[in-house]
Amino acid sequence: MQQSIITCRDLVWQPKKTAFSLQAIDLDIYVGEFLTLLGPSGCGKTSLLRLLGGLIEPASGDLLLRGKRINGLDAAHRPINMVFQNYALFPFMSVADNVGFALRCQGIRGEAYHQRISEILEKVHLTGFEKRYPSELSGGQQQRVAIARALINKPSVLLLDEPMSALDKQIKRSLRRELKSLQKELGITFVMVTHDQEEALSMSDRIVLMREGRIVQIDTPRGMYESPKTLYAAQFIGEANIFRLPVKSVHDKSLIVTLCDRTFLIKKPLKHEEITTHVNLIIRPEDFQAWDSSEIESDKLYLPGRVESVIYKGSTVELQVILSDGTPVSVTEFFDETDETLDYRCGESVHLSWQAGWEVVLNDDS
Amino acid sequence: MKKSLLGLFLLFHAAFAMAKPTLYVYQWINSIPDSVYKQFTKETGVPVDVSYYESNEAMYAKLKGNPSLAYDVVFPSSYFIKRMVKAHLLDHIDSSIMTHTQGIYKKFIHQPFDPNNDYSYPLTWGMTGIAVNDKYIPLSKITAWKDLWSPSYRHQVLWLNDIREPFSVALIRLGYSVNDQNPTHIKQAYALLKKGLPNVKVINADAMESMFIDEDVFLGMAWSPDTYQASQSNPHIHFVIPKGRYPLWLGCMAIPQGSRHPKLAMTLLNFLLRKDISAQIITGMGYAVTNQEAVKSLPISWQEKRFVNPSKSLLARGEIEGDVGDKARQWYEHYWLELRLSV
Amino acid sequence: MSVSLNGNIKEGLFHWHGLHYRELFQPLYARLLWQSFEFSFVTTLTCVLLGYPVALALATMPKRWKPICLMLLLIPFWSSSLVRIYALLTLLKAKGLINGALLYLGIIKMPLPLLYTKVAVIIGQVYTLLPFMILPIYVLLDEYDSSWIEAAKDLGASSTQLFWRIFWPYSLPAVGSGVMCVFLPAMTLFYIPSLLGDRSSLMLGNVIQEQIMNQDNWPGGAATSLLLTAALLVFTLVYRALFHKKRGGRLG
Repeated sequence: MQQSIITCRDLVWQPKKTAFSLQAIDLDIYVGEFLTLLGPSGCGKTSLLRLLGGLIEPASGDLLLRGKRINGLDAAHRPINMVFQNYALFPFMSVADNVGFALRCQGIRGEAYHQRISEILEKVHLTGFEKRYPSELSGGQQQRVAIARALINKPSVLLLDEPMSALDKQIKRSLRRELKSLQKELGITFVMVTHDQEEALSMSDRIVLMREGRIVQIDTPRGMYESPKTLYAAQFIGEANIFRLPVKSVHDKSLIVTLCDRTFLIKKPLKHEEITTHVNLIIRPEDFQAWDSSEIESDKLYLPGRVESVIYKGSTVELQVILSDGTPVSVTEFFDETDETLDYRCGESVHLSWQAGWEVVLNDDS
Repeated sequence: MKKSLLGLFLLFHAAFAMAKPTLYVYQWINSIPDSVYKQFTKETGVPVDVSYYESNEAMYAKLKGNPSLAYDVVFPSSYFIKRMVKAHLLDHIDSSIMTHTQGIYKKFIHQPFDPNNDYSYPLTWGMTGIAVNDKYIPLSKITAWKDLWSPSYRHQVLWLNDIREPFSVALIRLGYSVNDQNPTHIKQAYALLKKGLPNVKVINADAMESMFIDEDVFLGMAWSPDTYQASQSNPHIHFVIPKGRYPLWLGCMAIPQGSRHPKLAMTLLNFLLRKDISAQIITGMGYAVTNQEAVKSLPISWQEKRFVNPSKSLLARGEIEGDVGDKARQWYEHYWLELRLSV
Repeated sequence: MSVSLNGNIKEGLFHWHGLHYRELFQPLYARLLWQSFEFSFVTTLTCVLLGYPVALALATMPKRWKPICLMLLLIPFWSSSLVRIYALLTLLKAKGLINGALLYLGIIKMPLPLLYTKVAVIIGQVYTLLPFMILPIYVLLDEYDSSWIEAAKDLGASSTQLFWRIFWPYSLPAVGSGVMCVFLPAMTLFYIPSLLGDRSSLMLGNVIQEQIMNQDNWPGGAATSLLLTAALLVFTLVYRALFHKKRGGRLG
């Protein structure tokens, strides 16, 4: 069991005058991890972050820091600092003045003041930028100033509210790596809010997936992708082909369903005691394989279809296939240097199969 | 386009003027009542168009700045006549047309600023004296100019914002003429005024009347007609004529150069001097007029008022404010600014 | 170049036509300039002290009240400033509303001399110019980023620190513009001292008016106007030097 730094127990936040609320938030944040709060806008991820930072107060429940209840403790007195969306840098202050703001508020001056500013600027690789103003910096540099400003008091946890949203697409990718490595260097717990699942998958140690004010699933990126616990999770993270199929019969470890007039044996859903008349079969595009009719012996075990569109992406080819019953599915094929048959044309008929056992089977979301 | 429009305008204007001349009068605000002009129009068929000014300087600046304004009659104070003559702003007056001049006090004609009355005739006159509100200060306490210097009235006194008036008062106290041109004397007057400064609350002329009526000020230099008008609204206000000399000013009539109808304008000047017309000016605005016969035609209540019907000795105490010349005037202006900036 | 048309009081000393400019170097004009400066300075300072809290309140009040309060602030300015000064006159008079109320309530026995004082001049100038202080500060403060407040609080700023370290430095350029918008007109509004002031409430603008309107001394008036213009130019340059440093603009 990893050591928790922040623990939320049944937290509820209910603002006045809006229907929106956070309900029953149970969450452990571990020391030194990179945790991401993920979800669409309005899911409550930013509110949860602000609850942690002390900018808003929960209506009920417990918020613990290293086991000590910190409900009601104001933002200034929590060893938790925040990097705001768009950074909220003070445009009328130089980089050094921005970074040293917290120190000045504590009355720290002179040698110690400048010492700590240069230390932290060195850590975020901004030495020499002291006298610049925020408007003279690139987006990435502004981000690092905001991080340095939040880190100057050596907080235990750093909260980041959509730190990448203000940036250009091109530099996002490299900044992800940079931010991740900065977190490792500093060894500080990062809690980041994002709506971008790719960002969440590539940076986090764990992802907290949220929906309508509740936590849906907490898992590692891999667990989240490969074993989604709900249709919502499957749809939100990565691309997924979802087939809602009637259940023919239930066996010990498997179910029998029909798709395109063909019978398939699939895994039972996790909560198999709740099986009703239908289940959802989820197959990621890259788990499909597309075959030419010459490559297969019997089409009984394959899904017949027609290629609708072909998108070449360098290392992969993305196919849009219409199955014989009219269902559109996405298929991603990886180039394999030994296989030279990866050549698809629109209108061509193909036969799809998937690796048995890689499918995910879920009941309908309640 | 502009030029042709202007030409057209002038053409029409000239045609209109030829058909039916109008007299353009430029006069002090609250001086000659409109009824007088209405009667003139009735008698002669000539309409009169009146516009107003609040100071000699404003009138002078306007005439000098734009000679094409073509006013037919203006009313400069006595001490402004010579300056305007020198600046070629005034036209000759034909004495043969002026038939109502026999009633004018001898004291008021043939003055040094216009020895033969070639350019001006006095119509109204007034005294510079002291206005007192008896609600605050007993009338018996104010009898002489030096009372304005009395330490009991610190920061209470109004001075007229007309350079000549405070200087005239100081020069009288020093025993000099109100028209003194000697720089040393002017400087002495300045020094005397400076001694009186701590008593001065405000230096103003335009709003003097309302200041007294509303009791924002209850002691100060004042002109007789303004004080009379103020006393109509606030009976506590009295006009005190100080012992010894007092400054006396004449409201003169003159015809500016550029007048389109000088002959007609002279007819108006003569009309204004007529006994019954002058009497209307007294009753309408409280101005004293130079035609001594005018007041005699009025009810006894008017004849009892000293400032419109002065005794010989009272009139003799008045010293007419005339021209002091450009050089002395600049000394006056210089010391005036010094005074206003003294703390 | 002002050409002396009239004879001069110091003929013999200066034969030169530029005499009117030399006149300006007399201690008399230095005093006049200083007095104008004093009046404008006190007016400006009062406007900052009164205007800033109003602007801050306007900027931070609920959105729906803002248009109403802005209207209340601006409606008086639909009428001429001269008319408003006359309105002030009726308030401050011995028989005016203020004295009337105080007398009625028995707080005073004799009317207070409010009108025709230097204080009345300051009141008049502040009344006329206050919106020019409030509006630039309000416009800037209204656009503050609310996340700055959260960031500052998160970093440990108290309410006083929030004001002095965030709002004040942020609004300083607007206070600077406000100061210019108030100070420069205050130097020139001649009708306020002449309507509300006491005997020595005299500013450069009054002297210009007197020289041109009353003394027919156009060259002198022109020279005094030049002095005023030069003084205003100096203040503008000082302002630029103080507030137009290279500053960070707003962040996108």
